[in-house]
Amino acid sequence: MNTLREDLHALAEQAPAVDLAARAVRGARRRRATRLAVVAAAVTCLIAFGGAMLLQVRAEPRIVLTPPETKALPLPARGVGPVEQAYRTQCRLDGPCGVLPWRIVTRAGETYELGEEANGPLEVTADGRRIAYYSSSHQGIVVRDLASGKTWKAPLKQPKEDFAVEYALRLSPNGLRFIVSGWGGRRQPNKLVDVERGTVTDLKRGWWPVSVSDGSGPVVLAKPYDMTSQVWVLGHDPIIIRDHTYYYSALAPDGRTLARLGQTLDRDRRPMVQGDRSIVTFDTLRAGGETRTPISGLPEELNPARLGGWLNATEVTVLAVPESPGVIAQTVYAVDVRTGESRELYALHKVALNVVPGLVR
Amino acid sequence: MDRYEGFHEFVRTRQQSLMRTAYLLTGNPHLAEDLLQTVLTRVASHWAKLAKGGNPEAYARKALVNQTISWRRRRQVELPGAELPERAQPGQPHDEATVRRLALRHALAKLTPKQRAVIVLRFYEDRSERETAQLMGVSIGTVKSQTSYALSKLRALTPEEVYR
Repeated sequence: MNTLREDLHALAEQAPAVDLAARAVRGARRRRATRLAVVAAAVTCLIAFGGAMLLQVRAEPRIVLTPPETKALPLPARGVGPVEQAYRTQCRLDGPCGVLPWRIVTRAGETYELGEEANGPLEVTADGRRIAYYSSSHQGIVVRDLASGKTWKAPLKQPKEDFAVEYALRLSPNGLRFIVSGWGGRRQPNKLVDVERGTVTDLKRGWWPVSVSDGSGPVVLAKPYDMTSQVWVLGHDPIIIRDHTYYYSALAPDGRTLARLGQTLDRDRRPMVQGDRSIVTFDTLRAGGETRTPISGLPEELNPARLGGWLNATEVTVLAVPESPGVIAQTVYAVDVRTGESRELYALHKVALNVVPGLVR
Repeated sequence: MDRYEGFHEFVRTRQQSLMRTAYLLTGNPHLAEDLLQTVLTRVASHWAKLAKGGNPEAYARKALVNQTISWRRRRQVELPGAELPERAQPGQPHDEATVRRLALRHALAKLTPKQRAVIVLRFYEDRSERETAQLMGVSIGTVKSQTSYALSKLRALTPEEVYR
């Protein structure tokens, strides 16, 4: 391995000389100014609201408690309401780290913990009613209906190592059809699995899963190139997108419209590719005719990062994330693709590996 | 008092070392500069806390690795630009090491960002499996498996009998 070490050091010596201190400080000052503006606005609102409250009731002494660590009950066998989000806390750099269980948070605010058997990936259907997770005892994906407790086992055995690398698990709206893909490992699965019919179909390598419909509905894949991407609804011809992108939504209720996050490329700018806070809709069956709409109503500190399922014919879910972690929590919004107007749905658990129902990632 | 007191000195002494790691992680000078600037901006934002009791360099290195992995979707723009010319100098063939290093550069570009990060941390920065796991936020088992996949790929893509 000494040759590899020597060669890596020789390659590293080719790194260009840089002087980034001034630029980094300028960037940090800009971010601080934005943060302070957000805080000032929040304080102003609080003072105004607090003043109004004072006129109505005499203030009680405030008791400030540190919020306790959320307790989670084991996931009941049945009778669980729709999931708002799922998360898995992350190991601290300076602490011990065992296997951390998945937790799901329902829309009613209950938190449940899954057993140790679910120690791989977990995804939630867009309506939050079903979860799919890798079961180490089944050695494959298990889909579970949270209300009835019914489970379906995927007709595909997979070693856990499939999920130790980069992977995607894309569920159909009812969770009974999904694509499981992996990159970087010994095996590179890219399979369409139907747990109701018990079928497994091989998909072409190199195509990334975007959207899977229930039953025998459309399956959408994408493949990025240097400056463009292809979007392919199986059974039709792929169309070309004039951007290198992975940031798509699930297929819209009309069965052919897809949304993606808008971005711009400028080789003289750093970073060269930047999101432009717009949402672009296009027809997956016919190239051209894109509609770009600026997204409004997101806090300045949050940038649209991923898209997900559709809430209705015009609103799609958008995950917005802060530029640097820890300032504001990642938040899920609904964005109207016709007007760009957004409304906040919920914030995600901080410092955790989050799963948002129906998110395309 | 300047909020960024000491930051310039930190960057002046450490940026070239961080840049070398960033360059190996991305394989592209422009992306490496993007990556390092993003990370240094974050370091500057937290400088008051890091300068007091933290370890700015450890923070920066962890951020470099995490940021490059989170940029994985952009790997298609990271293709290495240099092709191996037939001759280094008129009439002079390339020496063995040059050929090998160009092949290594191309092979690194074929790895996933996680695999490339593992190779850089284990064999360039000489970090233990445990340190690598902590920096990447993964288990030691994942570091072992990723190292194994990455080395197999490098061996398959570089001249025979190298990197055994």
